[in-house]
Amino acid sequence: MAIAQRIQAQRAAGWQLDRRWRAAAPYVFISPFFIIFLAFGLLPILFSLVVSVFDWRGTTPGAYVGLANYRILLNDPSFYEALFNTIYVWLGSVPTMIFLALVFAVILNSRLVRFRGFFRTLYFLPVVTSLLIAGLIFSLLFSTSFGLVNRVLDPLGIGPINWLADPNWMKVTLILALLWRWIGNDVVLMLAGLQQIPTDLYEAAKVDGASEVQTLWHITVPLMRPVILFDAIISTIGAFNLFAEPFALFGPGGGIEQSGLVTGTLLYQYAFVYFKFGYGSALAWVLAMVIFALSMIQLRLGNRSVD
Amino acid sequence: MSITRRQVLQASTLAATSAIWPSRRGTTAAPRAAQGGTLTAWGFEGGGVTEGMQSQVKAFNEKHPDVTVNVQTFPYTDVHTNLLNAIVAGTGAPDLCTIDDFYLTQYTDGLTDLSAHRAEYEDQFVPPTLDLGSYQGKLYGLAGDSEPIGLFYRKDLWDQYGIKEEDIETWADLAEAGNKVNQDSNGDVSLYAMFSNDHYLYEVLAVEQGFGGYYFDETDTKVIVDDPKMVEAVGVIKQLWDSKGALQNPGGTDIYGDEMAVLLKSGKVTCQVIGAGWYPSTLTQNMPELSGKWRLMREPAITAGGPRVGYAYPTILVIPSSSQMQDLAWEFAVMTMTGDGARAQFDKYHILPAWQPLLDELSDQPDEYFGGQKTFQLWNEIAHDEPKVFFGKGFLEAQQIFGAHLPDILSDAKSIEDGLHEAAEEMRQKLSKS
Repeated sequence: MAIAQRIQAQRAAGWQLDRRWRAAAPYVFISPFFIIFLAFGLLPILFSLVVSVFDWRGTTPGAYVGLANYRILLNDPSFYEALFNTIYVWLGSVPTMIFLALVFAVILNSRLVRFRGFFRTLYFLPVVTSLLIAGLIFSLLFSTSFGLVNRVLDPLGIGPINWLADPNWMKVTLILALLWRWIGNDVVLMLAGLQQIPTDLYEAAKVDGASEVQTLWHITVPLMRPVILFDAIISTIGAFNLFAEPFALFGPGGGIEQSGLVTGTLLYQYAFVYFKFGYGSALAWVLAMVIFALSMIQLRLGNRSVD
Repeated sequence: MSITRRQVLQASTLAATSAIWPSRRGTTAAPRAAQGGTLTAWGFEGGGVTEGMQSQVKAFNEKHPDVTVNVQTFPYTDVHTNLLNAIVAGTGAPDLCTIDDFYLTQYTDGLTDLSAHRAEYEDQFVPPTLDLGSYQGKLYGLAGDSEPIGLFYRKDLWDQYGIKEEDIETWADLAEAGNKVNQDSNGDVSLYAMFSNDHYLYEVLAVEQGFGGYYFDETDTKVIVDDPKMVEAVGVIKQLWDSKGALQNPGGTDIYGDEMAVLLKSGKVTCQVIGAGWYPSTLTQNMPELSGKWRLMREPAITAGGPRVGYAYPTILVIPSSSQMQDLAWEFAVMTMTGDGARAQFDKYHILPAWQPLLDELSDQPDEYFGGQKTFQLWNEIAHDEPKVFFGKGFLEAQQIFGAHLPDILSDAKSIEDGLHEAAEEMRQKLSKS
C-alpha cells in the first residue's frame, strides 16, 4: 500500500513537473531573445541615459553634470544645423522615394512587363552594394571638374555644378544618393503590399471601364495606405539615423558650411571622434524623442486617412 | 511580506544604475613584468608605421625568440575607437598602438608615461616630434613621420606667369600674385585654391603668430582664437580668399582630395598652399608625369621678416598602460621608429622621417621630382625653426567649430572680430576652457 502510494505520489509529482515544464517551455524557448535584448539592447539604452548626465570621456571617471549636456546641446549651433539638414533631406527624399517606389512597384507588378525578376534584382542591387564603393562612385559621378554628371549637363548649358562643395547643392546630392541607394528597398516593400490586393478588385474596375490611372488612384493607393504609412515611418527613422551616405560624401564634419552635416554624423562625431560620450548620449536621447514625436504624428495622420 | 511593483522598479533601477555607472575602469591596471608571450601591436592602413613594425619583427625575434610579435592592421578610424574601447574596458588593449597625434590627449590617462626615455632620444628625433608625442611634460609616444608645412608650386606655371619664389615673402604677396595670374590667364588659372571652412591655413598662421597650441594657449586651458593676433591672422585668410587668384571651394571635401589633385595636374591651380611633409607622396603618385616641374618653398610670413613655419599631424606609437610587456613594447617601438624601421617606413611611402639621422642623410640628396632641389634639407630647416607645438584637449572639436564659423567671416556675414569671438565662445563652452 505504501509502495503504491509512493508510486502515485511520484507520478503526481512527475505530472506536476511535466505540467510546469509545459507551461514554462515556451518562455524558455523565447528567452534567448530577451536575454540578448536585455544585454545588448535594454542595458546599453539605460546606460546611455545614465551617461547623458555625465561628462564622460572614456578614460577618466565620469563627472556628474546633471542636465548640462542637454543645456549645451540646446544652445549648440551645430545641432540645429544638423537638425535642419536632416529635416531638409528627410522631406526631400522620403515623399519622393515613396512615390517613385510605388510607381516602380506597380510597373514591376504588371503582367505586361517581361523579365520582372531581373528588374526587381536590378532595383535592389544598390541596397546591397558596398557603401565604400557607392561613396566612391558618387564622388566620381558628382566631381565638379571631372564628374560624369557635369559632363552630361554641360552640353545642355547647365553648370558646372559644384555638387560636393556648394552648400546649396550638397543636400541635393545627398538626396540623389539616398534615392539611388534606398529606392530598391522601398520597391520590395511596395511589391509585397501590392501582391496582397485581391485581383478581383482590378477585374471589377476593368469591367466598369476604369482607366489604369483611375485604378491606381482609387484602388491601389487606398489599399496600399498601411504599407505606405509603414514605409514612411521606417524611412523617417532611417533619415534621422542617416550616417553612411553623408559620411562617405562629405566626411564626419559635413563639409562646407556643415551643409552635409546630419544628426547621425553629428552623433558619431561627438561620441567616436571627440569621445564625449555624455554629450553624444544626450544627443541620442533628444533625437530619439524627435523620431518618436514624428512617428506618432505620422501614425495619427495615417490612421485618420485610413479611417 | 509582499513587494510592491514600485519597490521592484526602484530596486532594479538601483541595480542597473550601479551596474552601468560610468567609472574609472581599465586605467589603473598595474602592468606585470612579463618577458615571454605575444606582443600585440595595432597599426592603421597607410602612413608607414605599420610597415615599419612589420619590417622589424624578424630582427626583434632574433633578440627575443620567446616573444611572438603580432602586428594587426585596422582601418584608420577603427584603430582609434578600438583603442579607446579597450582602455575603457580594461582588457584587450594592445602592447603598442599607432595613433594620429591629435588624438593623443584623449588617451593619456590610459597610456604609459615614457618620460624616463626622453633624454636618451632627444637628439634622435626631429623637433618638434618629441614634444608632439608629449602632453603636459610627459612623453607618451614616438613619431614615425615629421610634418612641417611648406608651399608646393608648379615652377613651369609660375615661370609662365612671371612669378618668382623670392617675391613671395608674405601672404599679401601671394594674394597679389594671385590677382596677377587671374588677370594674365583671363580667369582660366587660379594661383591657389581655398575652402571656406579651411582650418589648415588658420593652423599655419597660429603657429606663425606664436600659438603652438593652435586654438589654445601653452597651458591648454585658454582659447586664443579671438586673440588680437589671431584676428590679424584671419585677416590674412580673408585677404587670400578675396584675391582673384583664389579658386574658392573647388569641389571635393578638402584641399587634399582628388578634385584638388586634378586641378593641380591640369594646371588650373598652380600651387598647394598647405603642403605637409607627407604631401610629396600624393604628388608623385598622382602626377608622376610632372616630375621636375614642382618646387617646395617655405610658407609666406604674415609680415615681412616674420616666421615662415607651420606644422601638421604626425603618426605616433604609444604603449597602453595595461600592457604587461612595456619594456619589450618600448624596445620594439624604438626599433620601428629608428634605424632600419625608420628606413622601411620611408621606403614604403617616402614620407618625411622623424628620425633625425635619416633626415640628415636625405638632406644631401637632390630630389629629382622637385627638379633636383634639396627638399629634405629645406624640410629639415623648417622643422628646426618650428616653435614648441602641441595638440591640446579638444583639438579636433575646436577645428570643427572654427571651420563652421569661418564661412560667415569670409562671406562678410560677420566681421572677423565677431566671427572669431563667437567661435571662441563656443569652444569655451563646449571644451570647458577659459
